[in-house]
Amino acid sequence: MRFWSRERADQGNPTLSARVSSRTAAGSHSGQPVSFDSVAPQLLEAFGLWARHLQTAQEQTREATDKLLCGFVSILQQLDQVISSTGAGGADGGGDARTHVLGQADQELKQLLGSLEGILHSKDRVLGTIRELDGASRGLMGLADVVEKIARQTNLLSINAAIEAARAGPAGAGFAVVAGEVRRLSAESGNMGKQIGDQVRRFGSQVESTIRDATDQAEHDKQALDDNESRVRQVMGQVNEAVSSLQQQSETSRVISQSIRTEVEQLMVAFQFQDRVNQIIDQVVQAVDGIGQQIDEVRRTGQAPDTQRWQQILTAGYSTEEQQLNHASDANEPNRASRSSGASAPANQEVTFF
Amino acid sequence: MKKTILIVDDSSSLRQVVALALGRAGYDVLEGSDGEDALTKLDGRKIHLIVSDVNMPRMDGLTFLKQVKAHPSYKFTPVIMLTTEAGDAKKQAGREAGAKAWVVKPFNPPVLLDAVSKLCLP
Repeated sequence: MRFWSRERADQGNPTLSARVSSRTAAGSHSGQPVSFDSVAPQLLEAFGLWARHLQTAQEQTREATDKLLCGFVSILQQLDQVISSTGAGGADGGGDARTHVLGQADQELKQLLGSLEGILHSKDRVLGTIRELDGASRGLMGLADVVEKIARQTNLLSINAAIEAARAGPAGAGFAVVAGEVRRLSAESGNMGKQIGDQVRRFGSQVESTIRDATDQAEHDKQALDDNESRVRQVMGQVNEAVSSLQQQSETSRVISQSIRTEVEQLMVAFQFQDRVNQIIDQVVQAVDGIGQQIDEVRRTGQAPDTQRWQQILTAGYSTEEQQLNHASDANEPNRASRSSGASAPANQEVTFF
Repeated sequence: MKKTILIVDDSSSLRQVVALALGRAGYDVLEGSDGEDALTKLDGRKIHLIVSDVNMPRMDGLTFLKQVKAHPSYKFTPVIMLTTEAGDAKKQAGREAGAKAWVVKPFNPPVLLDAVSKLCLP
């Protein structure tokens, strides 16, 4: 391209002064000048081919970029799901959730302990009733002793009455019968009192045994309840630690996901290069087409384009700042291969408001 | 209720990037692949703002902008030009055609969002 602008346009001579390979010019030998007309068709063919190559590359880049961006959008959607499932409210929201879960578990376990305690109280009440029963049986035993004692006294009285009836002779015969009956009744009363006393003692003995067992059981239950409460506290602590650890992992996952999301978003923004590349390639294709038309015109008229026309062809369709800069640097530094700023141009920070 | 923004650009990747930025900021987004396609979106629905490229096939951004300004229902809809064109002549042309702002690509999403929030219709 440069040989054309500097050697053809500047000299205004349609004769190609450059040396081209004999293979590229029909029948020419290496080192010999060739006419412009002889290489023009090949140049035109090359221009057409380059334009198609560029368009193919452009199309492939566009398709690949679109696929990549679709992939990025999908990744972002999945990251959004991860972030929302790991606690949209952030660290504080997660802490609240943990506190709520632990509070609920604690309350339910306390209710369970309360129920167990209620059962123990119920047992205590039964034990109290049994103790009252023991007191009553002791009272009954006292009464049985009194009955026995009264029976013994009555027996003594009946013996005395029988003696007095014997002294009275025939007049006391009736009284002796009564005294005998009294004696028999006192004996029966005495036996009955003894039996009652025995029964009450056996009953009292069983009550005492029951009280001892119940007391032992109550102490055992109390110890078991204390142990359970201690275990509940221990489990609650372990659950708290586990939930806290899970929460921490979840928070870490959320932070990492957000970091990845930010990076993906930045990558997507960086993909604006594709639009700029398209604009530049479009312009190059347009310029190549313009040069082809110019070659036709040169062949037809025998006149090379003047500098202004040539610059118009080269700059037509420039849209990016990089193109302008490349053009300017090309004029100032003709041997410079390329500029590095192009695709990596930083994002603009300014907006022009009208 | 979400505000609706029409994005007009022949680059689908650019549309995706702009749509992502606007969508995350809470806007509903409509897309047009060039000026001609975008005109079909002006069908009476409420559009709070338009973001348009300049260089597009079939109908370029400045022609589209003029059509919008001539449209009875959308002549007051603010238009931001988002383009690789950085030259003053093009900016002036955009201003004369009725654009409210000019943003040069590659753009920084927060900068574009700031302009959008300032210019968006209530």
